[in-house]
Amino acid sequence: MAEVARKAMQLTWRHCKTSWHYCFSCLKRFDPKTAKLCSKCNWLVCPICGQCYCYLDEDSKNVVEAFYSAHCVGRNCPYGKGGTVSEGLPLPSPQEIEDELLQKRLQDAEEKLKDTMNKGKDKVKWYLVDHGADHIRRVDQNLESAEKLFEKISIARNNLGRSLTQEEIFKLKVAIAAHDIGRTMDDGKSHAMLSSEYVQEDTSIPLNATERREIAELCLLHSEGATREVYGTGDIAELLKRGILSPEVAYKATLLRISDACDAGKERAEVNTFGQSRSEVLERVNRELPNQAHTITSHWHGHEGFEQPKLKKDDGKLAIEVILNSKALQSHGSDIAFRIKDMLRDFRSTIVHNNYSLELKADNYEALQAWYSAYHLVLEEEIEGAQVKV
Amino acid sequence: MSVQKEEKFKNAYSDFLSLLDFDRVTALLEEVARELKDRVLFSTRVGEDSLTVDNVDNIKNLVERLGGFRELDYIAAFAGDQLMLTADFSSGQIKLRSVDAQVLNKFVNYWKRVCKKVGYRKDLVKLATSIDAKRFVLSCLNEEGGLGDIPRGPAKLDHSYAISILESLGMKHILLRFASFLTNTQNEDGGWGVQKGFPSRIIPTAGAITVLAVVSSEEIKNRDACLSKAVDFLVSKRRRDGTWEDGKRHIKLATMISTIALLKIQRIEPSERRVPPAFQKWVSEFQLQELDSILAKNLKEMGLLRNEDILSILKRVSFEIENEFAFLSWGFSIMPITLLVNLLLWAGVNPKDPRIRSIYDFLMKNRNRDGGWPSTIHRKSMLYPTILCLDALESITFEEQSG
Repeated sequence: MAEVARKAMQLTWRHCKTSWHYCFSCLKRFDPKTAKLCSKCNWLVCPICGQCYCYLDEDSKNVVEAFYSAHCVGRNCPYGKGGTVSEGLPLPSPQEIEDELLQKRLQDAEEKLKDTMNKGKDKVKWYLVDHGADHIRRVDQNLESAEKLFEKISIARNNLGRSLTQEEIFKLKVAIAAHDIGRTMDDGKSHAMLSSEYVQEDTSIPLNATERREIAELCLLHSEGATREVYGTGDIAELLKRGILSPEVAYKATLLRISDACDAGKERAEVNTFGQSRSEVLERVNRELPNQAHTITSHWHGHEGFEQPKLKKDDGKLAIEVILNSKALQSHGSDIAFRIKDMLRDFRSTIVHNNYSLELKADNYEALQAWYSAYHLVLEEEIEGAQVKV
Repeated sequence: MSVQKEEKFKNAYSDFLSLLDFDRVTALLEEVARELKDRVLFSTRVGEDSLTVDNVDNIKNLVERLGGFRELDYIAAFAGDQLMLTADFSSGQIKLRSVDAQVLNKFVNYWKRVCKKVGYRKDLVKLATSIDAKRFVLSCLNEEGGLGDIPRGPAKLDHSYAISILESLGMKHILLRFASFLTNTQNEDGGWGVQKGFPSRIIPTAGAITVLAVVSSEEIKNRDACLSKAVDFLVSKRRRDGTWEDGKRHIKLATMISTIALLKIQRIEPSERRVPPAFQKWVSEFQLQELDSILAKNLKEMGLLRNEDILSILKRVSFEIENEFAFLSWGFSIMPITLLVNLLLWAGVNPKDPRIRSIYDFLMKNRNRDGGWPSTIHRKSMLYPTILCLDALESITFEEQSG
């Protein structure tokens, strides 16, 4: 509560020249001319939520008093209480206040989405690798590194002519938190379509209409299949080329799709969405789904065969570094090849297309060579036009 | 070290692929399994999850369990140098490669046979035709937003009135791009020619108005100013008898589209019936070849094609309709067949009626592998007949559901 009161004071101070006030309690903006004065505390009553200073707890009251005496007294504010201003606490810059507010909204949105995900996660298939909170955390980390890298290697400049703004990063982060939420719903539609509809319809996620629309679109575009169903192709680059997507949306959708695709390494297969360990899940598969055990375990083995892929700069271009497990290459070579193929398919259906190099590494060079020689044809279409380094 | 691309896979084949081909793909995979036995590995990806499959029979169940056909990305069969087969539903292509030309030919020939012998997936028609058609229409869309008759063809405007129904076919994004193209290519006199920069003519201008009439000024900047100039152009070209002429042969068509265009933006009140006096006479005498289903739909919506007119048209072609297959011999042309299906449905014929079924089968049989339809069968797919066919299939499905 005290934190909200402090922000309200900061924002009001910023806007006091234009006379906008921010409520201590609901943080909504109001015109002080339309607000009544509370006869008890002598502060304005918020015309939106009806609360005033009287409703604050002691901490909040102290914050308000301290701020008022430090910054507002003596400024001839028509709503002020007289006195002189003291040279006191340094105020955060307007940008810092905006960033803080954005951060707070991000936390609120993420909490709301996490809660929805938890409530519906029974519908996510237990025998698949993680699609839950840990997956979202890793995708978020991938986004941060991909976004920085895209700036470094001029993908941002070439496609946008600028860097992403804090607001755009906010939208991308909310999209990450929401992109798989459709997996908790069962409606005969693709999961990305359901995620998109959920964001569009659930007004309890703290977003304005423009943010809601853009985030819903990003949720849809994160999936090649859902994009194909709506637009006839899942290829973001083609949709950009034909003017269906703007460069901004295509760029953000690319970041989201590849950040999601890069969560393909062994961390993805440490637990399932319910937090059950890999060994528990595989045991359960053998017990409950013996006829499909081979099929399902192949999925887990594929992910286990390499570390989380890393994006980096190589020769001024985007490089994907994949460190493979030499032992796994010998025992589950095909599963690993198909998982890497899948990841590269997602890269190719974005504005990155084939403009990358693939670096495959392992501690046993012979094992890596033998694996690549046996399975590189699995990847052939995906590496066409790209450079491969073993 | 950098890996050199191997030149081994010179023997490659690719063909269009649709979700409708799912049973054909599994038939091919069964053949691959029979031929290559335990040397072959199968893998399928649905959404973002992929699994290795040990038995081809399990693929369908697996697809359904993982997220359904909407999210089916690919099915692959890999047998080292012998074969790499990818049924890539994302790109809409099946690709086969082998170092051995004989092996490749064997499977390619099998695929061709399977495509003839095995039927399409009936339960996936709605989903698959929609995705394939969107892909086809998208391939006709150029970078400026213009639509060619064929993929990568120059933008044409002679059938632009047909574009106005793209929203009802789930292609609003293309409709908006095209509307934006129109606002950028309007001639100084307010009209449009058959192509960008060509002298203004009636049919393309009236068609452009029907498109701009179904988008909003929030969606398309300059829409209102553009529309106003276009209407002025069209009104200025109206002849004394209330008709329009776009070349001697196109009086009826130009009048029909222009009337529809002006009615759409309420420059003629339907209640006032201020349509050309000749109009009602034409309507009662229409031949199937003179109209298409989109124009007919518009006329019906505007009260200019009444139930008695529909019955009258049907009566004139009753000989062909009575024999459920005779009408399919009308020069193998798509346009009258797609109109007929709508007329029959409007006349109250049950969608399960054998005549409607025959038309449905005819349309599905003559759909090209790229997801489009030709104007006459066995020809290349074109945009206009593709839109007509999609609309016809949509009408049949819609009627089936509401029935």
